[in-house]
Amino acid sequence: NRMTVYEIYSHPSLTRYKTNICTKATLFLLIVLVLTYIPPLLIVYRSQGFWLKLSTYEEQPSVRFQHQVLMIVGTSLDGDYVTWSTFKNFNNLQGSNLRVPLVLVREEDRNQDGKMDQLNFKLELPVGPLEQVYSVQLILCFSYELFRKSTFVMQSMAFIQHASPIPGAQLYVNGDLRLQQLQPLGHRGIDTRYNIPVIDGTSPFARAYDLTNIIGQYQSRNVTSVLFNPSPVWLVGRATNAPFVINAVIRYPGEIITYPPGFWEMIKFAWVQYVSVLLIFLWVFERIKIFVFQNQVLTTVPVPPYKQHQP
Amino acid sequence: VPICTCNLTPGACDIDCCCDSDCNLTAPETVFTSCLPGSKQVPEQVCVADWMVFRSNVPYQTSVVQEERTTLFCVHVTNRKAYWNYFVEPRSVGPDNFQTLAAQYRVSSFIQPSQGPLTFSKFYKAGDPVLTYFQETGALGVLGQPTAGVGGACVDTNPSGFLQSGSTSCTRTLSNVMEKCTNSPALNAATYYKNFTILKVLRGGDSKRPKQNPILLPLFLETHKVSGKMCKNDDLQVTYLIIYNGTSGIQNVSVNFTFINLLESVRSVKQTFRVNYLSQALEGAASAPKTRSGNPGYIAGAPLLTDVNRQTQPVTILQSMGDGSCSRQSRTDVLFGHNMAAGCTYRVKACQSLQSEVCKMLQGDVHPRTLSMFGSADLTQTEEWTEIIDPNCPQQEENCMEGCSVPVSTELQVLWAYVGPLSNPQAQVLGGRYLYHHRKVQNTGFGQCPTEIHLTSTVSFIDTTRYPQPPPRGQPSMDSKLPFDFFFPFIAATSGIDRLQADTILSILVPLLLL
Repeated sequence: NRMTVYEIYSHPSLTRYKTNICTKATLFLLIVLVLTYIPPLLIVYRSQGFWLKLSTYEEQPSVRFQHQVLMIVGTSLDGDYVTWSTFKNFNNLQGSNLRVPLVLVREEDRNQDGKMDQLNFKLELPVGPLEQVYSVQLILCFSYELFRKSTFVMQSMAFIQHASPIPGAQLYVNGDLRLQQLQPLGHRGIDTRYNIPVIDGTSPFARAYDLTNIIGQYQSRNVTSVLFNPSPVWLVGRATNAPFVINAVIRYPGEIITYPPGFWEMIKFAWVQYVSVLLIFLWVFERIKIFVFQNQVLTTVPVPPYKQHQP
Repeated sequence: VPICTCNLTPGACDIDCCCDSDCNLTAPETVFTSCLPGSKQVPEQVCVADWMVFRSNVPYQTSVVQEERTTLFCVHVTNRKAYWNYFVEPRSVGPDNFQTLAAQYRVSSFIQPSQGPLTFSKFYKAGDPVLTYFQETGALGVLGQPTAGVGGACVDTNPSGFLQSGSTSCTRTLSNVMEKCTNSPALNAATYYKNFTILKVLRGGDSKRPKQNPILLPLFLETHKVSGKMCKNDDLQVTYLIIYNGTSGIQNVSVNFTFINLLESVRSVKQTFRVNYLSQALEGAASAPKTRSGNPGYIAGAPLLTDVNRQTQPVTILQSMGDGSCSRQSRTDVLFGHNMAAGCTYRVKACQSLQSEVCKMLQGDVHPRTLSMFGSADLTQTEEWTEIIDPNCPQQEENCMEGCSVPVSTELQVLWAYVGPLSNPQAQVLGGRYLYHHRKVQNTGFGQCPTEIHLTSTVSFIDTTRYPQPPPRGQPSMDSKLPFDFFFPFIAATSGIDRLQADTILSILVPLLLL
């Protein structure tokens, strides 16, 4: 008929240990304090990656075709060519080599998210009865904008070049307009460094339209767009009276963009790392302190819990 | 369905168009493999993931749709009509608002807005095209400086920019020289000066006729004509000299021609066009200004200078001709900072003088003995010139009938270094030497020496710069006593990259430190 005894409630009791300022216990506690908080910082720092210096984000750029085209088509194996661009000054320079094609352009927003997803570009070049098409050089200009972190605005291009010893009827190109970053973009602010035209259409001089100049200046930029994986298809067998056709599908895919994180982002990731190591140190040194003071390794005056309210 | 979007041929049945009444099918799904999108009723419904909804109490019809991997709960009627239609109230477009709507939504078009007609200020500015005036027609044109277009062919309409002195060259294709000789304007000198004048200023004064400059002609100018199997006096080089005087415009224009006689067999000719702009104040001086190779230090890519007969001239190395043979005349300039290599095949003419002939070929007509230490060479300052070590081609006085040692390659080694302040380094040549490599030329056994010897000539520039501090150099950086990386964000933020952010950081760090 024994009464069943069980633990109904428990709470930790607080034991205080008192000592003077100039004692070993004070020194011990100071050392423990330093050992608890400083080594985690050193461990976290020495194990690399303490400061997050580079990070990435994903964004689909807002790309628009600028309706600027420069085309050079080789029409013989001896170097004859015909050319056309949307720049009046360039066309004025070309004289009898100018051949105006029929151009069809359509940009599509396939998922209705307000950002264009691809450009369908078609160019039908009338070719004379004695001419054949052996090579194509084509520059298409785009405006390229990013908004998520820093507002990055640039005017960029896609360069298509193909040559074949067999005269062609059609060139089909289907590729992605990818961002090529040689340096990280800012985490905020407005970046209009490269908001300059790829081809200076206002210049009346021939050197402004020289492909080596255009490519040379463009490639010296730190951020460019390139036509990636264009997989050109060269179709042969053109009828004498048929035009030469360039068919290009250029997609505007989402990009992974690198950027240096801002101050608070860096501090946040450093804090997360520091505290997770600090917790282990706090636990370990708490055990050590309890052992030292409970067993009176260092002499102190313990104040037991039941005496606490007595003077 | 009131509208059948796939019914594109009225009066005929569209394949896979399940709503086409022309097909006369009671159950189109049985005949067609699939129904095109839009040919079946599309329910207007709003869906959420099924697991999010426990119980539905909406008065509308609902359904549970099994998608590929998720189950969707859909409500069939929406009361937010504005979200599901493009235009709730169609906009009316008339002549009054067409322009504003087009401007509001327009992104870009093939008509580039910035390409208006060329507008000029009152006087010529650097880079403006130089205008010409045709007296007979009263038309304005631009002074052309033909340049190479695509494929190197001449683009005649390329204008010459005011003050932009320079030469351009391009290829003129001649399918039939004799036919083109008389009627090709490009080969005729008259094209480049007759019937037009150069405008003094862009918008000339008060009179209607613009102020003009006739082109001054050289004294000896022969017309070009056919003679025998040759087309005589074709333009090879056209040089304009334009004297200007600040904003009062062009004062004087003269033209010079270099002519060539073209044989019937020639298919193309390279023409050079040069326009030199000279200030009136300097008119009396040399007609074509000399360019320095740097001032004072050498510029990379500028010719390395030597002193030949009290004249500053570039150092040259041999170059191969079109057929691979050597020539004493055709040599190429040594460019500062560029390691170079060239070679050619020497066809032996006489064995006796083989060594000296090869040496002449390697050295050129006048062999350099000194190098200018700076790009701005001054012949009077002897301390600016350094003697080349071993400049002479070593020759043994021996008859080469029975085999001898012939120099086959020469290497010019140039030691250079940057001098002056770090922020403005100047390249200085410290010294140079010639190294000759020999080859034993064997008698081939028949009492003859070899018919061909391959000669090479190389140049190497050796950078001996001693830097006062380790890299990176030249950029201003913070001399931080703290270990830079350990306090990276704080130092990066306060070192002027982000002034505004630094202030916010300090305003937070200071109270933290006070605690």
